[in-house]
Amino acid sequence: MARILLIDDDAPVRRTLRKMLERQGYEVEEAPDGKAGLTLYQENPADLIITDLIMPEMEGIETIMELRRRFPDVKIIAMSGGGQIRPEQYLQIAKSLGAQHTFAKPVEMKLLLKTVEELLTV
Amino acid sequence: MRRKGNFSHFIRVWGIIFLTGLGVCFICIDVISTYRDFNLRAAQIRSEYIDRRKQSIKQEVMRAVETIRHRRSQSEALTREKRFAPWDWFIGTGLYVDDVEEQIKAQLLLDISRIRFGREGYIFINRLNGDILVSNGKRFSGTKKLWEVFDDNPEEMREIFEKEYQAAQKPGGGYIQYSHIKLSQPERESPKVSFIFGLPEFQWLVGAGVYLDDVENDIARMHRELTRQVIAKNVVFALAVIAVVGLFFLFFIRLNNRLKKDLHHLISYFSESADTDEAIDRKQIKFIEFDRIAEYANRMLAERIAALKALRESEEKYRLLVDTANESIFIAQDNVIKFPNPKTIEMTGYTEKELAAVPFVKLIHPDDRQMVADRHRRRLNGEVLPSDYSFRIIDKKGSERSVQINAAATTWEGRPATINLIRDITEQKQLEKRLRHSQKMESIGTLAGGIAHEFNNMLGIIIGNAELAADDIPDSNPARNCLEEIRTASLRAKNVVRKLMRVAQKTPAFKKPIQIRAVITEALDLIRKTMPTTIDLRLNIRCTSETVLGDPTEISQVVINLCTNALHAMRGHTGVMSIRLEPAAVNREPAAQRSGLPPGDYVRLTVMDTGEGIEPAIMDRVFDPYFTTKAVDEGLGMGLAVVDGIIKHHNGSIHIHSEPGKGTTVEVLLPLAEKQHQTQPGEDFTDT
Repeated sequence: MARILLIDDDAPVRRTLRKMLERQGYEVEEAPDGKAGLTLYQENPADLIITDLIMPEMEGIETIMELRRRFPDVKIIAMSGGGQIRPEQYLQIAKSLGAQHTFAKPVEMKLLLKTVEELLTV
Repeated sequence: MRRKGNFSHFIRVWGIIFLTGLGVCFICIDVISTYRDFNLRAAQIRSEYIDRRKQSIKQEVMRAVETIRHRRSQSEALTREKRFAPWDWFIGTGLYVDDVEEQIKAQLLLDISRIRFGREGYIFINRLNGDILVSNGKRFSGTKKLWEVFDDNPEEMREIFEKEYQAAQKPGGGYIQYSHIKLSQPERESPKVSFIFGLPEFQWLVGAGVYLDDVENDIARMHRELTRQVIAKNVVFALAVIAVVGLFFLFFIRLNNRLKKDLHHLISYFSESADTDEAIDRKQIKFIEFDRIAEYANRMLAERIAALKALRESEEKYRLLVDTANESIFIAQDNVIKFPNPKTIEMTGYTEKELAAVPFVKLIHPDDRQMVADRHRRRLNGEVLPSDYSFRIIDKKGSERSVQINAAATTWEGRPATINLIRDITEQKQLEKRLRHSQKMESIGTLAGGIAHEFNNMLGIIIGNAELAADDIPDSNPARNCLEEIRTASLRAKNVVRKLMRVAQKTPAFKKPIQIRAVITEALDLIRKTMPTTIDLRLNIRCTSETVLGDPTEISQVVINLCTNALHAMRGHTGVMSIRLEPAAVNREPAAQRSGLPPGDYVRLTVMDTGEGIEPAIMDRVFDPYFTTKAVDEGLGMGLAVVDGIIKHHNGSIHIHSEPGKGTTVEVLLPLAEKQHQTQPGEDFTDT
């Protein structure tokens, strides 16, 4: 089964997403920030990365950039609850940097799962 | 002013007058002195001549007397030798002594009668008893008296004889004066002076005279001669004086011409030096004194050129500093503005003349007048005050401007004044206001952004777990409803957070050229659907194909928010909501000018209502987030804050005019798109 790496600084958010994904049969790894996520990916590359954008330490945008640099083929879904600027802006930036899909939080579960399935079958 | 004279003309005229006068003086003096000398001389000549003539007649008389005495002595000798004394005979001749003596006497008298001197001079002899012996050049017998011979006027003759007799009695003789006929003019008498000498031994008197008119004639002739000589002398002198004066004239004219030339050089220099910087050519100057003037004049010119240069430089500096200064600079004295620089004119809108005519306090906002006037007065009195402070002015158009003044006490023309620098801080104040507002917004935005992020995360968890829980329970389980409610409420919360995010947004993400007419019309369709029937909607859409660079969603939001507020203001009553959309040109329309927008083409969206209006006291706060007059359950009060944010990000402006009880008009200006902009790469994001 495909392995998915979850990067988000909010533990309850990670828990909720994990539950959703594991129910679909995916193997889920978690990282609280971009730096940890990169380390995990390096050790054991996942099939898909779902990352939040606004995080302490290494921010999501930075993470995506670094991932793309090191691992050009990595598949990434970016999510954002927004902050100083609107979530759409963050997501647009993420997309332009290489995230395949972007979602604004709170994400609709069904749509997310559908997107994950599409990405992993390609 | 007294009329000024021409120097060279003056010199010439007075020179001529002086020299002429001098010459005339010399001549006159000479003439007068000559005349005086002449008179003296003439008198002298006269008396000398008369004396001489008198002497001459005396000499003639004495000669005659000598002759007579000599003849007598001869006759005595003769008689002594020939006379026989006892008988008184002349021996040999046969004559008696008396007869010899008579012969001699007769011959003598005849000889004397023939004596002539001068023109009319003759000797006359009379006996002391009056018998006439010789007179008028004739010899007489001696038998008649003088007055018997000249019997025309015997009495007169007697008197004359008496005079003769008296004079003959004097030892040396004497002069007498009388009138007698001339030899050449026997028909009339002429005044005569005679010398009479008595010969007592003969009992004779001998005399000779000179006619005074002859003397006068001679004197006159001498006079004439003298006059001629004097005149000749005077003429020669006058000619000499004229010649000398003439020489002086020539010299003088030459001097005058040279003076004139030198003066002309100096005058030309001074007349041209006002316009040119040419020095005097000293080689052209002849006289040392004028050369020195020229030297000093050249020096003065050099100093003037240097001073002018320094002044020009100083003026340029002043002009540079003051005229181009971006601050208003002026002197305040006697409560008016003096010497305003161009920035002052620009800032106040008044001309220099107008500023000098109005007390400067009139330019100050009424609320600030007291403070400013008080500070000015205290500064003039020498009190040390902080030099910087701010206040408001009202320019000529009536617009209010905030200014900051820096004033210092000084003196001008010996009286107290202040020098003032004023900076227009209107924009600064507005920026500060906007900054405060945007800082407020920013802090709210930051807060909102932070909150939104957290909320989105939490909502994600709530919605996610609600969905997961719903999957875990059968459809019949009543908990499913509750889970559905949780999900629905969470989705509503998500929308609220979205709205909050709009306030926090920094830059619009989706600006693209939009047909403003279409966007507005679409938004109005939505409004129309939710409008109560008590409100009359009037539309005036004049735009056709104008495009604005913006986000259609946000523009719609503006329309919706403004209309919502308008409807809220008219709730519970009938009313009119008018919406107008038209092109506008900023800086070409007065209403648009107050917007503070740069000149250009815009669209104006006007939303007017006939509602309750906005109180002036709260007008400044209508754009504040969370400020609302709505009840707690009617809305958050984010509407105008959001609108304000959107419009700012579209580089437009919003202006509200309201009259409590009458209604409110909101005017929004948005710039037209200048060229087609490409949209930023992006897509419509999922937005449940």
